[in-house]
Amino acid sequence: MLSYAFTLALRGFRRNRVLTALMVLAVALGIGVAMSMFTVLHNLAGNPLPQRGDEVFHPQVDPRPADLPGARRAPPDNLTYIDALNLYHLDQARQRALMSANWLPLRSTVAGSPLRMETTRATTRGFFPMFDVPFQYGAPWSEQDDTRRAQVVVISQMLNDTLFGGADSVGRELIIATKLFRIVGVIKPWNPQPHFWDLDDGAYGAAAQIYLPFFTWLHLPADFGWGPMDCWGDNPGAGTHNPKAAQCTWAQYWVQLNTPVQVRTYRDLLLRYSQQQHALGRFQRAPNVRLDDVMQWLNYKHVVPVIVRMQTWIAFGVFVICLLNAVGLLLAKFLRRGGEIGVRRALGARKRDVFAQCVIESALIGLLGGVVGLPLVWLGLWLIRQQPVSYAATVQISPLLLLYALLLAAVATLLAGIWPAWRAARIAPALVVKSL
Amino acid sequence: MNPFASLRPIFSALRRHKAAVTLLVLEIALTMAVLGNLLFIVHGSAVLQRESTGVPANDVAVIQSMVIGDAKHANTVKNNLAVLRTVPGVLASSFGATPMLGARWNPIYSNASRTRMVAHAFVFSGAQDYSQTLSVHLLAGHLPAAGEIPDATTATPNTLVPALITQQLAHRLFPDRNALGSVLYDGNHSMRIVGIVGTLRGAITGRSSDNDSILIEQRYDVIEGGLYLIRSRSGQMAHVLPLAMKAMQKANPGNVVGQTSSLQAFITHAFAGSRAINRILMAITAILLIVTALGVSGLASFWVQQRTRHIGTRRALGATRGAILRHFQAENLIIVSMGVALGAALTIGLNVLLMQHFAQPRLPLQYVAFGALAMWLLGQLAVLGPALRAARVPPTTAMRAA
Repeated sequence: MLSYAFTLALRGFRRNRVLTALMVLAVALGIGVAMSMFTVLHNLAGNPLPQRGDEVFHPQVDPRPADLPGARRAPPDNLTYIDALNLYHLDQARQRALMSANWLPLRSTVAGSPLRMETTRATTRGFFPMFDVPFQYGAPWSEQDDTRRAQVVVISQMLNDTLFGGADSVGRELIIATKLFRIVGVIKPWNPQPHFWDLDDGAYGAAAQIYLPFFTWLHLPADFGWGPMDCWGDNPGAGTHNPKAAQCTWAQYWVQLNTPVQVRTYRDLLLRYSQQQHALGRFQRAPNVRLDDVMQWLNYKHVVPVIVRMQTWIAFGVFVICLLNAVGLLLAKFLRRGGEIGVRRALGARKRDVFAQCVIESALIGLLGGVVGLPLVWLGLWLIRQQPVSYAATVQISPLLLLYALLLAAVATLLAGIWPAWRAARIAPALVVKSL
Repeated sequence: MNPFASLRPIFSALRRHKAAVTLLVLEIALTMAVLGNLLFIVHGSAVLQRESTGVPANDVAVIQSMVIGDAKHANTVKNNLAVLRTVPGVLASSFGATPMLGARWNPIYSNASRTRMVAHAFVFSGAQDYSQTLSVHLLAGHLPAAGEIPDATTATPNTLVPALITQQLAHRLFPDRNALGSVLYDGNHSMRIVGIVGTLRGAITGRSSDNDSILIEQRYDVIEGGLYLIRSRSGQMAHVLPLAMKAMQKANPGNVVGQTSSLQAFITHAFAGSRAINRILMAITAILLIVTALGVSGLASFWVQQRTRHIGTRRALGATRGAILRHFQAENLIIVSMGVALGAALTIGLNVLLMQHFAQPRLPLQYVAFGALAMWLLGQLAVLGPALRAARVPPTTAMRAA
């Protein structure tokens, strides 16, 4: 029975080639638009650390004065130098990473080699295991390297390709900000989006080229900036860009907490710390802390650009219009075959059979539209990747999403076909046969 | 002949296809709603990209200089400005923030103890010759004079610094008196207003607060790197900037020159993402219009085929080809008009949704009118093919079918 309906459907396609082609094209275009936009959104709103996003947390405390005009209630995103240091030493049992963004002048040890500015992340050892950073050569520096301010550096594969032609450069040296640094590791291309660990300069974009120990970097001879700083109050040190100023937040801190119990304990620890700082007179506000995991943090910071969410909604609106269009055309297609349907009904086909055949035909059109639409999704994403938008370059499509696209096309068109099929099934055999 | 008499067969035909007509009306209405709102978004962004910063962006350029290690002695503001002034074609040079680069959004107070906050504003802080280099448009008062600008290295938050304020912010802060001579405070400066300028935007976001700006000038002799500014004769920046960059490099051999571009190039680059998003939205618009045209055209050809016999009969009874053509065109006009009526409401409804969820501004009614025109045009274009086919139906069809 099903195969008969199938055969009839294929015959139907051949009978109304133009109409069928129009429908397939409309469904394909709709799927192409909706799924490319959805893929962009999915990429931007996805969990950048899928394997461990719910075990990595971002602690915040509030060192601001009690009366700060125009201040939000939530604590600052970043930590002051003092709080960063305190929290880093407070709970040493955990995997943790203190960090900040910067860029540093760098050149190879070959005399006369050109100076280049490279984007830098200064951090502590925990960064690499906690965020699952993959190494091509070597390994992260050690905890001791952190404490004794060792001049060691981890570089990106891209920089390694440029400077050393891709060879294993572990043990070689670089001059960074006039100091000699030893390379201990080269990391594979690694750039999760959004780069949740530091959203100060936007949530999407290129990866850092060099990683060096936080405390080594903090004590470099010259000021190359300490990432975006947020300062308040009548700050006597303002303008001198002093990272140790008590009223400036700029350091990011992340900590790994594996169980809900650990999360609770750590939150209590933050509260106790705030109370203690309050008692010491450093904090003026009542304890005001946040402890978000990766997705909570990204949602709190509203990282997905409004325009991307909006264009995804609009794209699905366009898909709905395409489906409405399909309903109209399917209606035309089925009713045009009124004569044929009437004859079948007169020869004993049940309403059910006519209905089933029309629905199957709709689903087939949808499937065909999906198949034609997949290259369009791919083309759309390729075009989006060419765009100079910070998040565009990393947009990827997964096979699972392609499968969803196909299913969506088939199911949506099947649903669109139900009402026209019901209309077709209602055709009274006697009247039609009489008019033939 | 009564022109309305020819509409009668159209309405009776439409009544026989209530379902299909309803679908088409709905599709046209939705298309119009999405089209109007998309065009509004795209146009708004395009207008924003052309918004004036208040600075001749083609004739002002930035050279970012960074000090490496021990080279700091040569790289002083005083020396570098002297070097830049010798570059042929440079009219003025200074050091400081520009629109979209480095102006800080600071709380502004009306008293020296900084307890009464009266506004937030972009504070443009720069070195000697700053206002001349940015070439701001002075409306009243005077530009900071060499004699009245304090030395930044010895200045405290209470040292009076001459400041220029935008007319917009001056009107808001001093609605009933002249702003000139008043003193405003941010965290680090006491700013005495000596002049009022036209536009000076710290950012380009479309909010009117972009133009709430204060410009201050202090003398810097020694500072380690930052944004140097030059202004060239009109239209000459392309020649002047490379020369200026070379001169800077030569004067400071240990330094790295970072970003170097005219302000206009920087702004164009900063809006590259917006332009890309506009291209994406325009592509969606085009696809939407194609799909809707396919739908209109498809249903029209279905009707033509279904009514072949009627058309033949009307032709046999003396209807001209033109009459048949006009029949289908008029039918389309009626359907699209119903869609437009519903679409006008949906356009506004969708805009309200976008305002609520995506902080979009209110849509002006021209977009409704434009959407309606676009739909009428689209309908007529889409129906032309099927209608011409209908007009070619020979009168003999009527006899053959009978």
